[in-house]
Amino acid sequence: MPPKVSLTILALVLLAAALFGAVRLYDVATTERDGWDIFSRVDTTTDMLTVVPQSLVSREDREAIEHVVYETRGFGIPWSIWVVSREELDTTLPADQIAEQQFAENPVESTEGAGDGLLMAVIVPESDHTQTEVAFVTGPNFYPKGGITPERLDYIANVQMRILLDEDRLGDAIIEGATWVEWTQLFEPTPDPPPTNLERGLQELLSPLGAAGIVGLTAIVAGAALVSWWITWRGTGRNAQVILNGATAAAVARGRVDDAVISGVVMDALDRGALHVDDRGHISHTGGQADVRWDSLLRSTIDAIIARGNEPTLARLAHALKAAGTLRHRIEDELANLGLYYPRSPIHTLRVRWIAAAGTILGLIGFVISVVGESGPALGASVALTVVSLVVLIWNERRSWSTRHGRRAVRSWLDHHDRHTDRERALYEAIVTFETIELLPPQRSPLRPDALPLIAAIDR
Amino acid sequence: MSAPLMLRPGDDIWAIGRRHGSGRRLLVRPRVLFPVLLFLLSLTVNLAHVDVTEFHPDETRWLNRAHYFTDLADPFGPTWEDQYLTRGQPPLGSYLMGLGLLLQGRDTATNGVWDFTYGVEWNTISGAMPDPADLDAGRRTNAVVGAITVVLAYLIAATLAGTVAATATGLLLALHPLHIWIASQALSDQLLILIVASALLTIIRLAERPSRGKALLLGILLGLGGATKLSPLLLSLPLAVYGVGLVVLARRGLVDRDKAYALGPLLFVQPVIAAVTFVVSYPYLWPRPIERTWNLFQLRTQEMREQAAAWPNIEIANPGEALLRVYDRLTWQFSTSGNLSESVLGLVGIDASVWGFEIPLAIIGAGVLVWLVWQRGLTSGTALAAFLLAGQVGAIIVGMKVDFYRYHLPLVLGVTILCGFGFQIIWQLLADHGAVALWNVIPGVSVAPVPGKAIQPRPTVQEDDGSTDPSINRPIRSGTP
Repeated sequence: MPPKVSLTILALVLLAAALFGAVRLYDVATTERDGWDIFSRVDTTTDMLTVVPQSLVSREDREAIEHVVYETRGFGIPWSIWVVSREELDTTLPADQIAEQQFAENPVESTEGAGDGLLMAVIVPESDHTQTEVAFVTGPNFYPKGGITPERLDYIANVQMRILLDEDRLGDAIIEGATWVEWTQLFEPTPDPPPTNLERGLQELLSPLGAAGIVGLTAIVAGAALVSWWITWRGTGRNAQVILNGATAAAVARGRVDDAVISGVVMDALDRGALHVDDRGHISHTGGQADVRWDSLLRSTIDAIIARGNEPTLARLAHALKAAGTLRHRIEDELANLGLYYPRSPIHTLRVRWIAAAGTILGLIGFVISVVGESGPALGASVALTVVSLVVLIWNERRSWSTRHGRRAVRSWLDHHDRHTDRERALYEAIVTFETIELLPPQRSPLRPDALPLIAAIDR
Repeated sequence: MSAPLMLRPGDDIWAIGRRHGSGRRLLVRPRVLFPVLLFLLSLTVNLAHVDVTEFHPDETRWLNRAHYFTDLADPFGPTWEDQYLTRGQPPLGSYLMGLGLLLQGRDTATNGVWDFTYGVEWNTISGAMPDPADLDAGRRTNAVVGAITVVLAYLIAATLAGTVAATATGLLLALHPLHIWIASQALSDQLLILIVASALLTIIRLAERPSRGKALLLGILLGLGGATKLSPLLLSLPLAVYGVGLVVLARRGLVDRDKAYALGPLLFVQPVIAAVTFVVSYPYLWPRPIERTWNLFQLRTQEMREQAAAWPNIEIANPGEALLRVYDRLTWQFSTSGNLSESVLGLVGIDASVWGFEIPLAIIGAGVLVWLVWQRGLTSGTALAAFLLAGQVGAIIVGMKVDFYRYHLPLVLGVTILCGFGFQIIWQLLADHGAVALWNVIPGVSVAPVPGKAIQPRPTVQEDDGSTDPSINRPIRSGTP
């Protein structure tokens, strides 16, 4: 797919995602929350604290308890505390039944009929406060909200408050209990709600069948990369008499005919005097028909630039050569004919690219479905598929297409061109180390000074 | 492959070699030595304060959530449900604490949750006070993070201005009292400025040679910044606008067209990369990414309001007041120069509160930065770094509703970098006027003035290490930082 088309599709996808996100964000920001929320204060018509008779709890303790209840209502709990003397009730029922009766007669709830409240009932035998009983009762729609669970309420009543009640510290025990209700609501994890039908269905689908399928896809992506690598490494079996120059040796060493090789070819032509740069930075050729290396192609490209009415700068020449791809294909064909380079690299590149891109997209889709279905194994497999696909995608764009024979040929070529003053070796080094070249000013050089501005001009 | 050709001054050939080639001799150069020394200095100072820095209850929260790191193995578990703690802070600081504890032989099951409604005694009884070993381990983790940040600050200033600026920046930050304080506490603010500094360095490199990899890294860093303290996430939006602006300006021929066309799209996609990184990094967000991200921002805003109501003496009404608070904090309370001066005066028995000069110096540095942006253009790394830094500082100034000490830490990073620029320009002016000859007043000393090394309006990227004549060892690369 041409880059501009793929970039356009990517831009459209991003734009669609951005628009969707913006609309959703606007919705979230402007919509009043109608359900329960941990940071939505609730107020009930029920008193925060009822003590019968009031003398059971001191005024300071009553104020402290009301303060905690008020704060807790700020965290979304409609609740009240009812402290009553057993003697006032005139019953022998256990505390939890008394609490339920009280809740039925005086429901604690955010709105009438909501059934979402919580009542702490403290039944105090006036003769012996250490025998005080504590019971929590909730409306039918109370759970799950925040961190409160029946087990945690039991713990507050039977452990955390009991210690203080045993020490005959009734006021402190109620304050402590109210405090822990607030703390539990805020800081204990909210219990996971039961799965919806969709979640249950997805979980059944994803574990283990879906997860296994995604693992299979991962294996396909990895396998495609492995096969592609092996085919290249094996080579075509050709073993022609190899004649390399600095540029072709560098192309085999880099494993691909990329921008560095193309820039190096231009630099080589400049150095040989086949091309010339004038004071204005305009590039020209010396004419003639001799096709040393790829000079004729360079000449025709320069002529085409001039014919279009443009100034033939180095940057424009490099851009034209990279855009047309003709030079790259010619070098690739030459190397493939010598058995140094895999001849069908564009086809393999495209195939692996599509497989890896599909793997990435499927991995992301799998990620979303796994999150919706809350399936750990499928999530792990989706992450693996995405990561493996991305790694293959990146590797595929940068991999070497040189064959075994090619790599051997380069090693042999380097052994025969090991002198620093060797012009072809200098060209080879310039291309291979293209991104970080340092050039010292010459007294006598295998490359001419015309090459100096070249890299800065075309390496963009 | 045989060893690459070496740079050998004196050889009358063009020498072409790899800058990082295996065959190159390892040379101790300022650009390697100084960051190493600054790292060691900062780490030593930070670690020395681990035992003496006073305890802050906020540390308990970060240590408490250290289990987030190990709970990543169960991303659908109760840890990631919608609750106060998951809404309270984004998770990266907690991951860091978890990682730090594990690397130091501790586990991630730490203290309970500190309830700020109640006092130290109640929280201690409730198990919210951390084990001293956990607290120290968390603090040591941040000490390392703080030292790395100093190195990054050095590299930013070195790339944009030069070695003098970089050294001054590194020293000012390493010895800054607020930096030391927070680098010896188990909080997440150090991680925030580490990520901001990394993003600054990345954006400079991106402008130098635009590439998809660097753009991806920048977006990931902004997303991780958001996963630390939310605000860096928002910086991706103005960066996208900047990218669009570059393309528009390029079409009118007002900026370097090639660079603008290369950079514009890479900046434009930053919000998407940052948002995806942010969501992926936090399992709490996965079920409803937009709604829950909104929850996080809403709670931060609400808490800021409540804090302002709870402590009216540190409430900040508007950005102007915030600037005044910053000036006060970074001049009188937290200032490297003030602290050093007080220490020197203390040696001679004078107990005084000394005015720190970082803010005025930073204002000079800001002038230098504006000049550099003007000279190097809007597609330069200098312009992008200035934009990103200004965005982060601006977000803090505008968003600051209460004057908590730790909110000033990212500003310290900006101020010290700008101070470095100020130092560089003063150094240059002094050198140009032969100030070094003042040494000659000392009997027996004879020093000849040498022209200073100016900040280059359009330098090559590679910082000159001074080891050779710059005219014969200039790497060839396109672009300016």
